[in-house]
Amino acid sequence: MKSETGFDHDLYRLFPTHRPRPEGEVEELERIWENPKGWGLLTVVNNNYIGFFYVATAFLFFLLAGILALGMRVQLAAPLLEVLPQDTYNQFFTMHGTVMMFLFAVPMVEALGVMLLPQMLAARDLPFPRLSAFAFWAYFVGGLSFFASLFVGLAPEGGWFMYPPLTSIAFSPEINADFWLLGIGFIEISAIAGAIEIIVGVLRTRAPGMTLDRMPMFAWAMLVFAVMIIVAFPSVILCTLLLEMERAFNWPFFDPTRGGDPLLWQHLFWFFGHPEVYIIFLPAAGLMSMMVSTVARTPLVGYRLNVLALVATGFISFGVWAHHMFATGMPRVSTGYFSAASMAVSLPAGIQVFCWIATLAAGKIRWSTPALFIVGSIVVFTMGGLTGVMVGMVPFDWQGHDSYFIVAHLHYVLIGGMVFPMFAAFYYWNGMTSKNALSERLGRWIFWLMFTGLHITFLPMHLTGFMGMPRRVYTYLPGRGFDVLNLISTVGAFVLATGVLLFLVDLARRFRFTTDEDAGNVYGGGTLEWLPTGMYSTRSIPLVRTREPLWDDPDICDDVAEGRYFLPNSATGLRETIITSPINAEPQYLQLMPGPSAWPLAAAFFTASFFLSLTVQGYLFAAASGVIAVACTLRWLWETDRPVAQTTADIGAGITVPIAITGPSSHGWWALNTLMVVMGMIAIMAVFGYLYLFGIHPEVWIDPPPVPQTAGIVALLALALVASWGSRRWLAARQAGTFAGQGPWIMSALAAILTAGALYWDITGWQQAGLDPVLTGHGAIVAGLLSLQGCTVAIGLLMAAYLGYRSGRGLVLAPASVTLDIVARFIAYVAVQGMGFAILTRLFPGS
Amino acid sequence: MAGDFHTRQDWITLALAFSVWFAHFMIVWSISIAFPGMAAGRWLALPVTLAAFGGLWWLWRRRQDKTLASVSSLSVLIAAGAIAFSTLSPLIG
Repeated sequence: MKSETGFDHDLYRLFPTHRPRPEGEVEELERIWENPKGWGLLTVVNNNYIGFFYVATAFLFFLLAGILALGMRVQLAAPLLEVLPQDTYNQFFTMHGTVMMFLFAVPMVEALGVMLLPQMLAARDLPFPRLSAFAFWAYFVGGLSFFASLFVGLAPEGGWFMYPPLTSIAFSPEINADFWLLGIGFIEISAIAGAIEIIVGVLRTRAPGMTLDRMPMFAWAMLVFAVMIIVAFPSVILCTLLLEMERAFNWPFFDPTRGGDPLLWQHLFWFFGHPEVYIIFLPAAGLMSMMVSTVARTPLVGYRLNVLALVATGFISFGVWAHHMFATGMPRVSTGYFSAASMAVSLPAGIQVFCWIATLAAGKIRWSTPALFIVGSIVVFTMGGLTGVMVGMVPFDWQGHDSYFIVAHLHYVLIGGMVFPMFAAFYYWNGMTSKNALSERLGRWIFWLMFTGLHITFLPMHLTGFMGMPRRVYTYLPGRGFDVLNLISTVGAFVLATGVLLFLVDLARRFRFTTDEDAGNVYGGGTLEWLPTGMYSTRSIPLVRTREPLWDDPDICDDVAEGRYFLPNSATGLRETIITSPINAEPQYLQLMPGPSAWPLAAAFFTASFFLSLTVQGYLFAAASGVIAVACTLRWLWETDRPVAQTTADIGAGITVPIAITGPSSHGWWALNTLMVVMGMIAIMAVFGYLYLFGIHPEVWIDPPPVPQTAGIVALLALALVASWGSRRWLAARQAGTFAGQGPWIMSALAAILTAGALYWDITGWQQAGLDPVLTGHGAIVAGLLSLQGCTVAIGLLMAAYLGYRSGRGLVLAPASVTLDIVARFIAYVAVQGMGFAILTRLFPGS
Repeated sequence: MAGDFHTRQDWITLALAFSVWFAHFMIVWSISIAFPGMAAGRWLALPVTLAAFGGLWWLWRRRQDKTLASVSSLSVLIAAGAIAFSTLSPLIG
C-alpha cells in the first residue's frame, strides 16, 4: 500500500510488541481518565457518559412522542369523539411529528454515534469531547423546554413542517409558532455541533491501519450522515430564521401580496426535510450492516457496494425535495426531474437491502432478538419503500397527497428504516454499557408485539387514505367507511405500545449502567468495540489489518489489554489520542484532549435560556443570557489551546510523533473548515432565496445603489482578507516558541473592523437607495442577507477581542497558534461572504 | 467488487461523479423553472446533459482501476444512469 503521509508502513511489523510494559501504566490511564462522581457527573465530557445520556434522552422523547400518538389514536377510534379538543389535537400531531423527527430520530442516531464510534475506531474519545457535551446539554435543555410548551397550551400547531401562511402572524398570532421556530433552530445547532465532531472523529481518529476500506459500516454511515447534516440542516436554520424575522419584524419573505412567496418556505424546508429521512435511515442502515454480519456469522456481502450505495443515497437524496410539492402546481418538466430522482434514490437503498439478504442467505443465522428485529426491519422498510416509489409518481401523488396513505407510507419507512434497527441495536450493543444482557425471551415478545402492532396500526391507513380520509383532521363523520379501519388502527397502536412498555420492563429488570464491568460481546461481533475497555477506551490502540479484527486475530484482545500496540500509556500525562490520516489511517500526531468541565453545560443552559427568552419576548433577559452564554463558551475554549513544553511523544515501539500541530493536517483545521461549509450553506440557501424571489416577483425589485459604492465595499473586504492573511504570516515569521507581540492580533482585529465598516457602508447604501424591508420581498431578502452578514461580522469581532485578550496574556506563541489560526481564517470567511452578498445584491439584476 | 480502494483518486472519482449528477440536476431544474412551460426549458437541458456526460467521460478515462466492478467505475455508471433517467423528463415531459 502506498503511503499517504510518508509514514513507513514497515513500522507496522513492530506490532504487537513483545517486551513487557512497565508497571503502573494502566493505573495512570485510569487516574487520568477518571470521571467525577455525584453532581460532578454534570461536568463529564467522556463519550461513555455523554453517549449514554444522549441515548437515554432521545429514548425519553421517543416515549413522549409515542404517548402523544396514543392520544391521537384514542381521539380517532370512533367518529365525532371529543377526547381531545381540536386545538389540542393540532398541538398533539405537530408535537408528535416534530419530536419524533427533531428530538428523537436525528439525536438518537447521533447519540449512538457518540457512544459507539470511539470504541469502534479504537480512539480514546471523540476529538472534541466538550463539543459533544455542549451538543448534548443544548439538546437536553432545549428539547425539554420545547416539549414543556405543550403543558401550557403554547405548543406549535401548524404541523411538523409549519407551512406559511398558516404559521404567519396573520393566522398564528400567538407565540406557539415561535416556540417551534426558535426551539428547532436552536436544537439544530446542537445537531450540527455533533456532526462536526463525527466527521472529524471518523476521518482523523481511526486506529492506525484502519483504512477507509476497513472501516466499520456504521462509521461509514455516520460519515455520510454527518456530511448530509452539514449540507441539509443549514437550510432549515435559514428558513426558521426567515419566518421568525417575518413574524417579528413584518419582513414579507413569504407574503405574496408584497413580493414574497410561501413556496420559498417549502423549497427551503424540504431541501432539508427529505434528506432528513435518509439522514435518519443511513446510520440505522450502518447498524444493520454490522449486526447482519454478526447474526449470520459471516462477513457482510458487498461491503464496497454498500459503501457506494451509502454515498449515492447521500447525493441523490438532495435531488428529491420537491416531490413533497407535486401538488403545488410546479412546471411539468420540473416535476419530472424530481420524480425521476425519487425513483433513482430507491436503487442504492435497494442495493443495501439485497446485500443484507445475501449476507443472511450466505451465513447461518442465529435467531436472537437482534436477528428478529433485523429481518422485521427489512420486511417493513421494503414495504414502505415500495409505497414510496408509488408516491414518487406524480399522478399517484396528486391522489394520495395529504391523505392517510402518506401517513402509512412514512411510518413504514421510518419504523422499518430506523426504529426496528434501533431496537436491534439496543439488544446487540447493550452488552457494552450494562452489567447484564437484556432478556432474550422478553425480547422475542417485544419484537412480535411491535411487529404485529405496527401492521395492525398502519396497514389499514393505506385504505383509509385511498378512501379519501385526509391526514391532520381531529375527527370524521360516521358512515363514510372510516370507522372500522380507524378502530383497528387504534387497537394496533396499543399493541405496538405494549411492546415498547415490555421493553421498559426489560430495561428496568436487566439494565445496569457500567463503564467497566459490562456483559460484553454477547452476540460474537468481530469489530473493535468489543475489545476490553475502560474509560480510556482500549488500553493500547490496535493496529487494524482486517475489517473484523476480532474474528481474524484471536490474540488481539489479550495483546491490546497487555499494551502491545500503540499508545499503551499516557505519553504526556494528559488525556490524549492519536490523530491519523484520513484515507489510510497512518499515525500523524498526538492530540491533547480536555477533561471534565462545567462550562459546556453552562454555555448550553444560557444559550437555551437566550432562545427561550426570545420566544416569550423577554428581550432583556435574552440579552443577559446571550452575554453569559458567550462568556461561558469563551471560558470553555480558554483551556483548549494550551501551550505545552513537550513537542513530541513516543506512541509505542519507539515511533515518535509531534504533539498538537496546526495547519491543514490538524483536526482543528478540519473542524473549522466543516463549520465554514455550514455557514457557506446557509449563505448559499439565502442566495437561492434571493434569486427565487426575484424570479417570482421581479416587479418589486428596485434599482441598487451606485456601482462605485459597491466597488468600495468590495475593496474594504479585500483589505480585510489581506489583513487576516497577514496576521498569520506575521506570527509564522517569528522565532518558534516565543511570544510574537501584539502585532498579529492587531492585524486580525483590523480585519474584523474592516468587515464591520464594509457592512455599515452596505446597509447605509441600501437605505439611501430607498429599500424598505417591510414593503417588499426584495427589501426583506436583502435585509435578511445583511442580517446574516451582520451576525458573522459580530462573531468575527468577538473572536478578535478574545484573541486580543489571549495575546495580552502572552498565550499567542510563534510560529503558529491554533486560536489565531481559527480567528484569522474565520474573519477571512466573513470577508468573502460579504463580497459575495454585496456583488450579488448590487449587481444582479442591476438597474 | 474488485479494486484497490486505498487511493485518494478512487474517492475523488466517486465524489466527482455524483457531484456531476447533482450539478446537472440543479442546472436543468433551474432552467425548467426559469422557462416554465416553454420549449426553451426543455431544449436547453440537452446541452447541459451533453456537458454532464462529457464530465463523466473524463472521469471514466482517468480511473486508475479500470475494472468495471471498481468503486470508481460503478459510481460513474450510476451517475450516468441517473442523468440519463432525469433527461427523459425534458424529452418526453
